[in-house]
Amino acid sequence: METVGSESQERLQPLKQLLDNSKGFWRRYRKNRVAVIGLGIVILFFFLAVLAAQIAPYDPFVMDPGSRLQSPSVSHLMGTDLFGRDIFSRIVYGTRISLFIGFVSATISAVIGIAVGAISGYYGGKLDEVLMRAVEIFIVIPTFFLILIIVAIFGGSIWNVMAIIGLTIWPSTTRLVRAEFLSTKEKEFVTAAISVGSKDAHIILREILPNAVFPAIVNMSLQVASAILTESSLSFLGLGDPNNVSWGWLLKDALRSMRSAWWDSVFPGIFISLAVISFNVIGDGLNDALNPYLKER
Amino acid sequence: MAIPIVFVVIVINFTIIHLAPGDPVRILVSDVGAPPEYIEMVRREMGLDKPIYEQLLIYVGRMLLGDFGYSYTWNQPVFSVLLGRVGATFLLMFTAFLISLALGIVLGVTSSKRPYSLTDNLITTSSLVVYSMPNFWVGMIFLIVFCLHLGLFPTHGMVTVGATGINSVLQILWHLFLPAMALGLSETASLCRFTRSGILEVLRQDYILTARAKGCDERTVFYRHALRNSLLSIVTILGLRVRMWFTGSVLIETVFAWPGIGRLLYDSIFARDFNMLMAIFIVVAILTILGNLFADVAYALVDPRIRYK
Repeated sequence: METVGSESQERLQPLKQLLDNSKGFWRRYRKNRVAVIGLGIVILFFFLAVLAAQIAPYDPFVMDPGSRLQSPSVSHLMGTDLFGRDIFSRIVYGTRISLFIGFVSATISAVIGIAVGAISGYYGGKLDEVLMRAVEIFIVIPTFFLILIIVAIFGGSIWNVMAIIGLTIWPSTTRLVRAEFLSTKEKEFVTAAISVGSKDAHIILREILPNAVFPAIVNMSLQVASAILTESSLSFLGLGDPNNVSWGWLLKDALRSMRSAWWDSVFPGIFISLAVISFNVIGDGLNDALNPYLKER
Repeated sequence: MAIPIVFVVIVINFTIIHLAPGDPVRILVSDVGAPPEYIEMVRREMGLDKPIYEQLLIYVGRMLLGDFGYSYTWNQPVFSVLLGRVGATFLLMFTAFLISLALGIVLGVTSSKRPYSLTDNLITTSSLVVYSMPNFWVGMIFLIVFCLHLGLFPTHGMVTVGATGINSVLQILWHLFLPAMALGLSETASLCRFTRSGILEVLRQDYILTARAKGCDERTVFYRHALRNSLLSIVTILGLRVRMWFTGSVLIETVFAWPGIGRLLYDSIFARDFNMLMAIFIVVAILTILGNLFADVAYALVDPRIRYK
């Protein structure tokens, strides 16, 4: 009876901590006003993405030869493109694709990055050496060219693109998580867990990881930004998914109408930039909020 | 570390060739317009009927010798197509690099002199904004504003046909200006951020306190002690960003039709010349690694501790 009681109490501890932290978390995050604005923009984009069908005034795919290359006006807020498609509607639908790719790629990268970093940092030794060599290689080689070749050969469906971006950007997360594991595993509570005979999986997941995951969370926000940029660049080079038009694809289309329609080029780029800035400043805000001690220095 | 990385890159290419759906020869030959005899020859020379490890050896050997095959898209050996394009890319990248080095460090120094002042906030904010903009979009905006609307610069290419002597040099510079600015701008922003944080980090060190305590004037403290020491972290960052230069160059060359490797890559994507893409990957990887080695040497030059080891 008593063991069951202490067991459940132990389980409750992290949850309680999380709730206590979350209040302080928001209080600290709020201090970074720019990060709050960034979060606001991302929430706005999120609504654009979810409610695209309700918000977009036109069908983003339907061509209308009668309204080609119209400048921004009341009926076409951001003008129309070479085929008479409404730019604003195309951007709203593009938000869906670009954000989705950003989030999924960053999630894939976070999962791999945390797993490799945890294993590498916890076990050390030969395994660590091999994994760190792999990380080093990924950090030096021009990965954009690798992504590009794979997408060119295996096709540019968004699933391919997301998987490949995620599979190539994890090393930075790994480095951060590994460093945290190296310092945390020397702490007393870990020694205590080892001495009562806890399994490795328990120590890694329940003891160390909750303390080592913060840099990975901050990094994930930055990686959403970089994944959105990478995908835009791929689409811009013609390696996007024609069925899932992203912001970058709109810029590729705009290359052909630059001479006659500046609005085709200007507006999609503003959305990409806003999204990237926002995720970057959210990263800063998370850093301030999750590392209260770092800020004091 | 440099040589194993080149080897890994070649093995990655080999793996992709064999994982790709269909006949591996499809990737090794840009199949548009290649005569069947050539395809058979590649199949034989690459040993595509031999066991996989033998194929790997043959492939690695050929790549290391720079034998990337023949491109029927360009009717030239792949290597000479590449060789003809490297110069233009280097010219663009080097100019952009000089611009960003000068601007980035000056801006970073200016903003770290009085942190959190109006000037600093202005520089920090604008560098964050510039850093977050896709550089090809910046290029497009430059092109629309300065070429199409103001007519100040040419919209594409590198040379004007018929120009000779000093005139042709001026022509190239005139074509070069906008793409180099567009490419240099985002790296300027990142360099500015790193310079600023590097200097602020150094200014917190104890030896700065010592310098001030022994009565150095603020100029000496800032330039002789803080800036010089922060150069170390700047050189490290420069090394890590080498690959970003190539990525950026591909995109900018696409916008301005600059006849370098980037434009070649763009054209090869459309021609589905996979062999060319792989050759570009290998060459860019080697150049990136060389750039990193160069940064290591520069690091040793600015850090006497490493030199004397």
